[in-house]
Amino acid sequence: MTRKEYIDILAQRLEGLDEASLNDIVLEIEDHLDGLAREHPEKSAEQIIDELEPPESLADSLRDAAGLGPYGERESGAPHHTDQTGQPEGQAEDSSSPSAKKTVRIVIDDEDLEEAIRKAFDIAKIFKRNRDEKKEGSLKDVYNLSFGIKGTELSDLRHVSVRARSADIRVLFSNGELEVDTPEEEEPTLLMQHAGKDVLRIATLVGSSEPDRINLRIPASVDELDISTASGDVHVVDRVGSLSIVTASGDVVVETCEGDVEVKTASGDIKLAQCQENLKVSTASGDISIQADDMCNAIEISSASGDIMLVYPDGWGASLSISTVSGEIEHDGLSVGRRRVRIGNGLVPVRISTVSGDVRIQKEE
Amino acid sequence: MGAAEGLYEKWKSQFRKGFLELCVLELLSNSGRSYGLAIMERLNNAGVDVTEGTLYPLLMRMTKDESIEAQWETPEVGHPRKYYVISNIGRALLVRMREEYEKSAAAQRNLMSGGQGL
Repeated sequence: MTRKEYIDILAQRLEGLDEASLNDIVLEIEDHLDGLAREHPEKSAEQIIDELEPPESLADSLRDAAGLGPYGERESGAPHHTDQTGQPEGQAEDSSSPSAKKTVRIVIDDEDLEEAIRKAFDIAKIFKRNRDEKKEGSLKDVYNLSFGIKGTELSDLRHVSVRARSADIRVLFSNGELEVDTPEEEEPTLLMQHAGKDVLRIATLVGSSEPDRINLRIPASVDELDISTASGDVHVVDRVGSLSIVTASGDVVVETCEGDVEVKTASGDIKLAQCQENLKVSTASGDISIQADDMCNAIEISSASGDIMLVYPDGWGASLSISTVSGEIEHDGLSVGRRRVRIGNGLVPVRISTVSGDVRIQKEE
Repeated sequence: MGAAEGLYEKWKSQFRKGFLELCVLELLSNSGRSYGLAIMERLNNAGVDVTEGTLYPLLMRMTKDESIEAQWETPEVGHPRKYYVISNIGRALLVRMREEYEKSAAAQRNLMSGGQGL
């Protein structure tokens, strides 16, 4: 079972629960799944799902706890919240095939675009609700380590994880040690925490003022670097090793990366150049611009409404498969109706999917 | 053995229903605040086996009962997280539950040793 199917069945069988509670529990379970995925990188998403209690019985127990009757005693058949295709008969269908009611479904690595967008909206709702309620309290009491500016000797470090809200993050390559500094602040309060023997977490503190910018110099011995921000921009000048970036509205620019790159944003624009190995880029409404490198292994690009632009060097060989619902496809200035485009020897597989964004493929000038 | 095993499972599920609630209150009373997965792992590490299907409905019911409170926090992007804290009702409840639990355990020990010919 895929994660989406699990969540779909759960949500469907919680029918009758008010929307806020449903939203709550679905996001809570999603966070739970995210947590399990982080803790068990060796397991596939499906494996994690398969080890969970089936969604039907989880839903049954939740219904019980919420004081609802058993699933199936439906009063009105109110439309399921993820069902936006307007097919009323979809409700009556067997819960084991929730995908049957979708007319258009774009899936990238188990993740359904429509679902991703819905999730983004759900998250936005919670942001808003939290702000409205102005809840006090923070994570300060958990660990509060004021960090002097640089010089952590961490040669064993393999994984660095950075979290910030509005701070811009700049990544540079380091020949020596890992360095973290924040130019504007005298003594930035960052949270530095070892999570496992070779993992370092760096985060800005909740409730405290953030520095405007965080500079990171990361040595190549750090295999994995992941960064997430809310509104902060991420600018990677030079990186050796894999890179994973998630932002909500922050823009992402990667100038050079020797290693796999994965970027996700909600509304932030994404611009990548000289990225080698594998590229995986997705956004809801941000625009994507990629300058393909000769050393690229494979490229995967997806957007909901954002436009996609792919520039490739002379002599490049790739096989593109493009899917768009209402966007236009243009190759070297010419509009193409084809969903498959072959360039040169067709070596590099490129998958592009978008709902309403336009796709432009262009040779470097 | 089969029959005993079946009965044991049935008894265990009844026994644990109340016990688990006590454990969640103990945990939150001690740790201040926590979230679903962390609660599950801490319970499992402590030797209280619990699955998602048991824990989340319990947390939902306890929130409804107001012995615990839930609030969403967005410490960083992408992972808004629901944290639980014990409420004043929960603290008062925990005191009573501990008393009851101790009393019951003592009674059981008393009966058990009584059976050995005290």
